[in-house]
Amino acid sequence: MLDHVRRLAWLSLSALTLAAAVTAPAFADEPPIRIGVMAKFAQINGAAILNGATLAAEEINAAGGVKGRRIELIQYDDQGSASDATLAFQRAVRQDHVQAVVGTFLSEIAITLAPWAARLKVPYIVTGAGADQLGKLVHDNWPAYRYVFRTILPASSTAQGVCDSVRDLAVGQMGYKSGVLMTEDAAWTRSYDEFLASCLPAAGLKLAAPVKVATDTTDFTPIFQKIEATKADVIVTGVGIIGNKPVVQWANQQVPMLLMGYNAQAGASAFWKETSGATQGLVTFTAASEDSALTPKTVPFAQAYLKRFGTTPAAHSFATYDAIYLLKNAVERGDSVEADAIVSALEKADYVGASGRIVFQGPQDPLTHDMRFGEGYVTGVAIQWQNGKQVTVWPPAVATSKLVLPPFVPQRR
Amino acid sequence: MLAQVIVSGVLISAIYALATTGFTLLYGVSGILNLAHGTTLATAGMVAWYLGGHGVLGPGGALLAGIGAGMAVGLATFGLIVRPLQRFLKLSSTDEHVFMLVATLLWTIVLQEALALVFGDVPVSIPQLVPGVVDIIGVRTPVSSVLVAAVAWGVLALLWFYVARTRSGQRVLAASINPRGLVLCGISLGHIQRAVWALYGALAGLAGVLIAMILGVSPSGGMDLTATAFSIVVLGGLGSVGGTLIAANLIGFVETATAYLLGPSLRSLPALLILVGVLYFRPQGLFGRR
Repeated sequence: MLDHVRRLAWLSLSALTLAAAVTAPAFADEPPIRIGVMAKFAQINGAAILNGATLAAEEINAAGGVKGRRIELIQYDDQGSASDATLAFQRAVRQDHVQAVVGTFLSEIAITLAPWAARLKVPYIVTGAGADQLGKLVHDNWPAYRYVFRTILPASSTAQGVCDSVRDLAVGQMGYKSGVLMTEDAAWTRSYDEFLASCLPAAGLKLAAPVKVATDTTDFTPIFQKIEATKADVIVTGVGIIGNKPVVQWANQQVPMLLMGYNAQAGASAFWKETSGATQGLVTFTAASEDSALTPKTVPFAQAYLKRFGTTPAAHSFATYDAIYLLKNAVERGDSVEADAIVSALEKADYVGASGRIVFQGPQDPLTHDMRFGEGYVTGVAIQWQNGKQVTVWPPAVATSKLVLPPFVPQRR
Repeated sequence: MLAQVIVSGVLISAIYALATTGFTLLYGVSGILNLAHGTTLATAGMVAWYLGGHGVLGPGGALLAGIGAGMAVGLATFGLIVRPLQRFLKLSSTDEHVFMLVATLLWTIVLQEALALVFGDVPVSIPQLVPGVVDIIGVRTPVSSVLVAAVAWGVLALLWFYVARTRSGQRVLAASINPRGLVLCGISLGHIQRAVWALYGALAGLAGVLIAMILGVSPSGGMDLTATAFSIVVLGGLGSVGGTLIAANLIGFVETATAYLLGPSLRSLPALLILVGVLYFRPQGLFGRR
């Protein structure tokens, strides 16, 4: 009996080994391609960046790697500090010899790292920070800064998406006439505010005086009461660092105005738990969503991500996932892992990723090496939180549901 | 506008008062400024959020779990940081103050990183005890905020009753006035200190859960909470519970009025200016004894 069991065990073990040998790709002796991933991983956006990179690397390695070479991700936690990020970037290049770096959530950090990418001549794809200044820096310091790319939408493109979704949903669908712009005091909102201040009135929404919120604000009561006194119909937000507090207090205080615009943290499903469901009814613009087939890769990616990490991908996950595939694509097309070959291949990239068709702006365009935005390229979507799920409500072509107002928000004043 | 300032001011001041009373009580009795205070509050809030939000416990259970977490952190701070330093280093009283500040500062970083590791460094909020809003002198106010203010003042009244009317409370009071005399009466100072740390933890735990309900907490937000508590306690006079209550209301109202009149981003500025003024003209604080 014991012999029988032992034989069975050996047989199963041999079968498993054989199966592993057949399914796992056999990598040549060549060293792996090293890619640094950098963000503050304990935060929702940093985790989104790391998860996006991890999933892409796992998929690529399972499918045979890049020209027979495995992708090895090396993590650098920047702790949300520019000085930590600078040291980590230098270590990544000089000591760990990475071929590229992806990530970074805070614009202040991305702006600090851009000159280092140029000095150390290493491709750096920003996948979380949205300040327009970064694209302008690359434009103004061309060709030295040609190593810097970005696969998350710059603030002005996000602002364009927010403006278009407000025009169609708040003005068109709900018949709202007036709004207040409430944004956090950070580098990325400068261009965001500027754009929306002219775009929203043109879209049919009269704007009251804008409200700028410090990123360490804890009590939003005075802010909401001030905004309510303007008798506007909708609050158009621009928040990334303070994603949670305004949303929870808006719901608790039952502020009778629709909360929409851009909230960097509300794009991931973990946000429902963090706000204990207070995010019900919130509308935010984001790169893509799990239920909208922007490209053939969007929904499969979102489903694989959910299965692997137990949460839906945020905009930064889409951006980082696409960035790793773009690097693979560039290495294959340029047939080299040398920095300059990767950079020139990226410049010529025309790649359909999970978030849309990615083509980078050139040195003559205003935001060099940012993605082209709009019809036929990357467009983004607006999602609304409805009963624990993110539902796509804009653009009409991919929307899966209509806008539903929270019970405390009136139809129209 | 006046009505809004009054209502918001009363609500925020009640939370400030509850959140700082333990901090000042601790200083009064054991002479320790616990810089891990804010992280103790945050720990209680995060634990209550996690257990309540994952369906492990109901709202009442989550509240108790938060208070338990606060007590656990309080006693751990005492047992792992404060007590060993007092026992083994034999420092002069001035050196001990500095060592305690540095040790509790390092301890807060350890706690903060541990929280971020377990829960992620994300701001979280606990569902309201009672949903809905009420109209108070024309200001729409969440029922939960009113309830939280009532609970805060109720607990402060209980604390007063404990210190003024019970035997063990009188010992705590005596320890803050003359610890040597207490020891001469044959009462163990160590026991009283442990009891005060547990009481401190329970107060901080309750405050942490209430803050998580009204304003939200995060691991890295602990330092800000410590800074607010520190300003209030220094303004009121270190170790003076009455002074702390008055200072909590003063700061709560000044901050709220600033947010309404000058703009929300300047909220904390006037309170800091008042603090600088007080340190300059009355360094022991408004109601301080030393």
